[in-house]
Amino acid sequence: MRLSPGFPIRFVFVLSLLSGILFFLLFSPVLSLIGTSSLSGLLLALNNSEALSAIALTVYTSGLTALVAVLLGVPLGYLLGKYQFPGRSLIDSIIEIPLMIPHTVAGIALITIFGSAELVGAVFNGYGIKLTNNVLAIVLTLIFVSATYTVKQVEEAIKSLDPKLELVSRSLGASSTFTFVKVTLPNIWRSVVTGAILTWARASSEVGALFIMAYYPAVASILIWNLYAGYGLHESISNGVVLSPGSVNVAALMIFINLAIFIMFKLVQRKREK
Amino acid sequence: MSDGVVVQSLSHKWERFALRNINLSIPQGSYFVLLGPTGSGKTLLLEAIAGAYSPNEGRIIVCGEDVSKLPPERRRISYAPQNQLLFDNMTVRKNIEFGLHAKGIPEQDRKSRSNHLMDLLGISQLVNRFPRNLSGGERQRVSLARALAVEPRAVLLDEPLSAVDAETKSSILDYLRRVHKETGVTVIHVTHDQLEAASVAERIGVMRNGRMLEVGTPVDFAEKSSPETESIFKSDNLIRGNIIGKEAELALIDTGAGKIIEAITDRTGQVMVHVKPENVIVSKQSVDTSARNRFFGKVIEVTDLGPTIRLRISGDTRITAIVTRRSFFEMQLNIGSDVHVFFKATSVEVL
Repeated sequence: MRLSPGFPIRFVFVLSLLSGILFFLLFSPVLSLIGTSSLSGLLLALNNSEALSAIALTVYTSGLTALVAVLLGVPLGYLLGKYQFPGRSLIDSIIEIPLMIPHTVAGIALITIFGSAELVGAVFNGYGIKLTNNVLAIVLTLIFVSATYTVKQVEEAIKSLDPKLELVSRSLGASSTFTFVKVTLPNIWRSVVTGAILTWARASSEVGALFIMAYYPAVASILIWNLYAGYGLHESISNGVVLSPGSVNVAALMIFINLAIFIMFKLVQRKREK
Repeated sequence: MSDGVVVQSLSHKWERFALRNINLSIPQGSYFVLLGPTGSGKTLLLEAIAGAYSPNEGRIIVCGEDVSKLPPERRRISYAPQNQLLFDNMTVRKNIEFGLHAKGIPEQDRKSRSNHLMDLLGISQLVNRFPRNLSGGERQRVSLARALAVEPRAVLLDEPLSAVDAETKSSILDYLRRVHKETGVTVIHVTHDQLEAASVAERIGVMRNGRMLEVGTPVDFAEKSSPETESIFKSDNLIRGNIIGKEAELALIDTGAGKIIEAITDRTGQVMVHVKPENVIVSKQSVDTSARNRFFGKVIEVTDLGPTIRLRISGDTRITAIVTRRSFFEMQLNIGSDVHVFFKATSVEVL
């Protein structure tokens, strides 16, 4: 590569140095985790029904959360991005609150409304539906901590769309709904997918709020914590009985699965762009 | 002629701008141009007619129906915005058939309608292309076809020539004339360019600061512009004529009073011609030059423009010339001077 005469070599060198430090901080733990796990440990985790069901539960609940975030977040993002109305900026700020509070605080907040003796929880309890310590509780928790990402992505996409685009469509006789489906949505779907990925990633990483709202059934993040607290990093086997497949092994497996889902999403996105 | 689009005492206030008491009556099937400088409110008026917002006061009546409270989709007025805003996720055909699709028109009918329009606008070869692969002129024609496909009661064109180069401009203007003639649709065309307005309009409405200053035909404006509209519609050397024949590649344009202007054009019939005052040569003697057009007249008005002087010359026809201050003094010109004026056939713009 030949550098052009205007290339600011020293400036770029300093930037690269600083960037390198951050990159190290971001990447080295992941690499080290994978290095610390072993192939036999990974196989052990793959053969452990407790680990597998926890990972499956994580994938399932965070996927469900992403789906709900799209179904409910696209309408909210559209309203916030498209219209000016009294209280708009207040709503805009309120939906950012979940991103700014500690996760345990989020858990406490959720339990004060969905707990079986509390406002909403009691009502559902009356119909025999519990809102804590089940799949429903997990999804409720994950929506609270992660749906904002989808709303924000959609809101920004709508804001950057020329409002006259919808006027053109409607002037040609298309209803608002037809316009939304055929014109608006195809223009913002990339942001919807990005929002869904962010929501899903955030949801699958949650642990703090789940400790309080849904300690069981255990999702992967909670199981990994339990294994680490009880048995440390590595697998623990006593008299042929697997006491722990090793927190590091389950963690590595989780990383591989999350990466696989992420890459799959990206591939689908790229294919649709062509 | 029945009324196509009527605007009655329309007023609307925004934070920093207002449309004030606009009245307009556009006959059905006519070609109307809204002319005004940037920020005069012409696009906002167009959006009110399209139904983008409900004006504070006044009514909009289309073919006898009060549409002021109707949503855009029920007005049957197609809107073609300045940057076209084609649907990027659809092919040219899908774009054109969009409105028909929304209305549930069967595929066979959609196809024959879009084929006809693509034919009329010379874009049949683009049928399966996507908007991102089109040139400015092509995009404009697709936008026009999309607007016309639904057989609207009126078409609103916002600066349709803003994104195309000079050469494409005249071809788009040709298409606009042809399409208007063929479909007979009412057109409201917004522009800031008076020559563009004079070229296509049957009637022109001149706007400034949210007000409608004056409405008239291009000839009205060319022949007796008021001091209010003069800065927006400069009538200098804008002459109505009739193409009466061709002689060795040159079109002969009869401007009345038996005076012929020679120009290069493919147009026929009624036209407006324009010569930039800077391109008019003034001489005290009759001299032989290559310029095809020569007139004789008297200087009737002299205006000091600083480095240049504007002369209005009255004779066979009214001509405005701009000469340098130096020429003006060296030639000892003044009001009442007899002069010959010349301009080349190639400097005549046929609108």
